[in-house]
Amino acid sequence: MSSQPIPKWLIENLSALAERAKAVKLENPENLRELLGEFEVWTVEAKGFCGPWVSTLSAQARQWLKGLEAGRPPIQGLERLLQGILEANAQLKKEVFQVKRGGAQEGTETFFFEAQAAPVEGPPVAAQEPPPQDAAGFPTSFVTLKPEDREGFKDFLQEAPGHLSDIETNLMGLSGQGTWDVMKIYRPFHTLKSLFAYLGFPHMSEEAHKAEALLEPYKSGKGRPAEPEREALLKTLDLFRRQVGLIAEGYLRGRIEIIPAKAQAQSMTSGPRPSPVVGPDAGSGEVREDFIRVDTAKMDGLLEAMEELAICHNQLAEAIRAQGPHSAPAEAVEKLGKLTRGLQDKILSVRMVPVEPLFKRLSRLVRDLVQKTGKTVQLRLEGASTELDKRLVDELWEPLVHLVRNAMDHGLEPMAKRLDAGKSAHGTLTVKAQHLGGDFVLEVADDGRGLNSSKIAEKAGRLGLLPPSSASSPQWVEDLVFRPGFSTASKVTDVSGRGVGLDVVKRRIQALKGSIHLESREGFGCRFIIRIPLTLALMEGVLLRVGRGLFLLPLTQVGRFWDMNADPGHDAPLTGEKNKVPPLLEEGTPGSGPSKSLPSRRIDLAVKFGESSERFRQPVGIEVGMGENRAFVLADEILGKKQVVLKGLSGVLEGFPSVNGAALLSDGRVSLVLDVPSLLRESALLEATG
Amino acid sequence: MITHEKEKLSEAFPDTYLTFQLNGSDLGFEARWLWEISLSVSVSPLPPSVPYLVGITHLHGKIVPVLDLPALLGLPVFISAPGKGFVAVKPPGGNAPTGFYVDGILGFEKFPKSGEQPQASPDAGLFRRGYADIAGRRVELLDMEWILSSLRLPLPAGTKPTPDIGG
Repeated sequence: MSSQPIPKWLIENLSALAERAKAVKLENPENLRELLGEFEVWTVEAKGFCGPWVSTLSAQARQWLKGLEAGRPPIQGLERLLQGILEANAQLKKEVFQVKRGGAQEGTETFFFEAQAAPVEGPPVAAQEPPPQDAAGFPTSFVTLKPEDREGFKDFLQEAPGHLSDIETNLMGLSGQGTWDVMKIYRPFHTLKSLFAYLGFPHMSEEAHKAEALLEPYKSGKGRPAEPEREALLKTLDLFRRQVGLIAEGYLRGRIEIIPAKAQAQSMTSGPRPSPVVGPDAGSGEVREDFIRVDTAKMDGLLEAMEELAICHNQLAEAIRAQGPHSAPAEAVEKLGKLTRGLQDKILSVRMVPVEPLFKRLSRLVRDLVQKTGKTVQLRLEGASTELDKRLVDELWEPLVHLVRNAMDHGLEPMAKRLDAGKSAHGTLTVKAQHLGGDFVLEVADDGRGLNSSKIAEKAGRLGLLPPSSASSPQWVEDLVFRPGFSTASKVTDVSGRGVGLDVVKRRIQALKGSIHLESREGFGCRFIIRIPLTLALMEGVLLRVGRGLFLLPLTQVGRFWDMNADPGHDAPLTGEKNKVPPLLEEGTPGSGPSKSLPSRRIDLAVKFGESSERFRQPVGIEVGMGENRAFVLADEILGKKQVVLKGLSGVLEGFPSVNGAALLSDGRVSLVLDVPSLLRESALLEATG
Repeated sequence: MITHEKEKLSEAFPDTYLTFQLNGSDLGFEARWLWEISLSVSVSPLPPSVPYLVGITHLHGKIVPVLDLPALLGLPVFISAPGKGFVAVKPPGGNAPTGFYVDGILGFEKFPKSGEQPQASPDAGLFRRGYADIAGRRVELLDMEWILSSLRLPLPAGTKPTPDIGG
């Protein structure tokens, strides 16, 4: 039933089990119990990937274990089971061979999530088995790793030891009289709280929450935790160390032991801390890889130093070029330039990570949504190895969740409706990542019902949002869907969900210097296309001169350029497009006609720098913003497209409204970087449209 | 380029002042405010905003606003060559540097707080906290905390900037 490729780890686990089955000693029941317990776990996990023989074998294993608990001799039925394991191994290899022959598309992963008979309510949790008891009499339980969870656990094992170490270092510093920063303890506890909750360790998350609560009073900067409180925090730390160790240990086996709840509850109580940490050391599992955690501030510092080096190189090159192109220094400087660019690329690449973890989290989300909605879905993930700035990968999660939820809730039809429409019984959700034209592009597409334009138009009409012309254009529909509150106000079920929160998604993407667009075909589905820069460290913009000042407008927020001095009716040469040049607009005064109704204002006034005594020729108009939120800003000169490193402002410069930061140019000059949405808002340019 | 980290200076040289010349006056401030002294930096002008903000530059990856200190202090206007040095200051423990041109660095002077003479009158000059007599020269001591905390942007369009002397 599955079109999902069988993962390598599943094959490896079964091969190992088959080897152990060959060598198993029949007279040792514990040995057998362990082997078949693991085999049963394997069959549960393999169910989503393999043929129906897995279920049969699983039932046999369960029956045998029950018999063992009931006192039945272990030998009974065992031979058949062990033979079953060996046959299963052979069968699995055969299935893998068939999949390989089928030629799965490279870089594409397909998951098939089948809905249960009845939708399951409640938050998603990792599958857990009934808790047996450990030697001390505490109930123990296990988290069984799902294939889609493995990446999350792997990330956790890389990240958690650093947080534990941070907590310990700073807790130890508390005993002295030196300065301490509560946030250096609070933050890693907070991060661990989220990570534990996400991975399905709610009790651990609760313990982290208690630690946070204990630290809360000290966040004001006054006082420091007393010795008993410090001890309690250290006990929690030990508990976490032990759990992380168990996770590292269980990661490869696919089954992770959860520390008993009773032991967890004791962690934050007073009393002496049990000395040595029980259990394997955090991060000592076989999955350990060579990683160094580097503070992002250090990475930023490295990038800044690199940038200054590049500027120095440019200035030196300019000075030497003046002496002649073929001088020995000129060649050396050219070589230095290549080395500098290479080094810059390498530093930037350190921030880049594949989006694979994001995709893995997504498959887990879809699995949970399938259970909630009762819709059977095929999830296609393409381009998991595509790299993006780590921070952007993190920031993309929430918008992506929003789009996928929308697609699952409102885009994909229930099975009966799909069949009525002549579609396949299951819906297909495709998430595709790729690099395109120097940007990162993420597509979220479904083959559901698509947007119902007529219902959207009807709703817009009731709200008084009339289309610019008699026919509603796709752009107008897109603008409406992303309009704040449009869908919230609408009760039209078929379309309302498509807009709920999409304005938030758009704002999030814009905050990442990106854009989002929508393509929809009624009855065939929707496709959201997100385009963001590969890194936030670099941004592309249009450099403008206004009087003596330099301004950079982010490229994603710039539309067409207009020669404001040209006669009406002349073609504008600035974009190479055949655009009609509008008449020169008076500042802040809307003209007439659709393309001429945009208000305009010179940039320095829009930014509210104060009154200028300089003569301003206003030769260039730049259309900025998107959709309805557009306006003209006026400048003296366009100096070209630049790729720059965005820098924050501090001190007195923070007072500039609508200024997002500054950028160093290659010649050493500094330009202010404008934030177009706030520029339009702050300068009342949008109000001027009436 | 000479760089002095303020923390090191304040620890190693308590009661130390950086003294410099500007528009014919000898001025100084506590060295703990000093972030960097450069022989030259390239300043990018800003569109007209406030008279005491002449532009922005960058130092060690940070964007630094550049003040017109004579305008801020109300010093007499001298028509002379551009400043021969650039001084960047930063609040101790802070992270927001500000810079200004000077005509020349006179050097570091060390004298106890008791060596500071109060201003003759409140009108003797904005942003000064007193003066000191050093080797027969009168050095006006700037209140760097007052200066940095008074800088505000933007001013309402059309108004003449007036430092926030109320602190």
